[in-house]
Amino acid sequence: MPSPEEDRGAVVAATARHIHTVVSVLRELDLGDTPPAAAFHADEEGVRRAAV
Amino acid sequence: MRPYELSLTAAADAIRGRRLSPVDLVNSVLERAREVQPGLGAYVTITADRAGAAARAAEREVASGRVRGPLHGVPMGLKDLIDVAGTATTASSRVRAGHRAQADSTVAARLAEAGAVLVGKTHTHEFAYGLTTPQTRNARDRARIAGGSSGGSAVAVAAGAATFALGTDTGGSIRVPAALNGVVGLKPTYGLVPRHGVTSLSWSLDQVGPITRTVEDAALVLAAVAGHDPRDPASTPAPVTGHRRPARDGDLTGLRVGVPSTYYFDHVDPEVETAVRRAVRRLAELGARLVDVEIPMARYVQAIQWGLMVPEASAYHERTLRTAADRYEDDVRVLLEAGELMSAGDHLRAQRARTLMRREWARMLRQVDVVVAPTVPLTAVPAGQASVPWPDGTVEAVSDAYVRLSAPANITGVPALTVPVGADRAGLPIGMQVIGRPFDEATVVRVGHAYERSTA
Repeated sequence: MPSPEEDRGAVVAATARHIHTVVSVLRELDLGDTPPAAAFHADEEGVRRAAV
Repeated sequence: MRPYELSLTAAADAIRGRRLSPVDLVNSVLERAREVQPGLGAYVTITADRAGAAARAAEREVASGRVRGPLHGVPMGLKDLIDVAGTATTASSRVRAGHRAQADSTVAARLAEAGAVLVGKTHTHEFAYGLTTPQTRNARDRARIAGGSSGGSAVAVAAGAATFALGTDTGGSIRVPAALNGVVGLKPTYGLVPRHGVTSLSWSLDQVGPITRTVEDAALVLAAVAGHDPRDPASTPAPVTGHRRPARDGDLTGLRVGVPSTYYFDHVDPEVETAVRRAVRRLAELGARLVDVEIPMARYVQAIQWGLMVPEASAYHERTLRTAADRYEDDVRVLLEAGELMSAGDHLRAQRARTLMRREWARMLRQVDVVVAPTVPLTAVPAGQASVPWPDGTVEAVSDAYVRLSAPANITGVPALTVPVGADRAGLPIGMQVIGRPFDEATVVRVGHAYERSTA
């Protein structure tokens, strides 16, 4: 019988694998030189100003 | 109508007109909160003594001719991630046992300055990391989930145990419980409402916003809490405009309303779709021009959301995961520990994909003034239900289903409002989302208010 800690470790590993599967779809994207947006100001694209 | 049943707008008018005293209003709401608390569990703590003292102070000010504004003497609940000096911010977690906030969060300080009265701290799914809020039960049907993570705030407002409340929203945590309990919720533009003193789930996605009974009420609360505070690095120095009472006129002539032809109506319960499409037709009757829009990069919503939120949440909890892991509930601990295993490459890929998605949404939002859509694809499920079967044979986790339609506004940072648009055959509420341009809460509120007035 696996210990409760081993059981939990298996659940964590399975969850990590599932998360990895979900985020892996981003590998399809051609990101070119696109920079990361760590935190941002929401109107950097100038949507509101451009649409007046 | 008893005082606890009043909307914020109606209560404010009555207080200003001296037809209702803050003490009577606060006592009515406190009594209601105590009455429903055993069945609904909306609150972590009811701060009755503090509320009584604040109500008496508010009443003395009214008697001396000073009314601070529409929130003067109005009772509120704050999600228990929001610091209030001298009280615990428990995050509904044993990890925070013995906590006491040293200072007010920016939003709590601004609401106190506006005269609002704290009734209590409302339950959150532990550390906001979940969509059900298991401590709290749905205001319409106690066998069903409250939704989350701001479940306590939404249930308190829906049940009359608070006249308004604040929640936080990282992937839908204001809008989801608001929709499931039949109230209004507004996730403001990222950067509009300062988060200083608010426990983070995910720095680059979190926003603080109001949960209320009407759209007009939400605009009044937003006006009190919006505005720059340099202590939140994401807070925008842009001036706060347009967060005031919406026009009485419900005319939407000329407004371009985007109706998604992709994504937002896929895997949606037919009763939800029918109610939302009926509400969209109502907007057209009010003069809006409906424009079909394709939702860009829809395939990548969940991947970007997880690629951002999962590692940010694990980073925030890194130290307590080492020192107090056994105090987390199992579901949250597993997510936090699994999140530590995500690679930096996956996280950066999500950040770069967000840049692309924001650009594509900006392009879409040049064609229309708002986009309307269901808030959640299904009404409140029974407590304990883990997954949703769809007619095409696919099965979706309940939490994934509830976050699916609200996450795009977090990733792109745009404002999103949920407004009740009816109920299913079981009487469970259905919400419609109104999504707008960055910092254009005024138009989002205008659309929601026009719809609400047309059905009153």
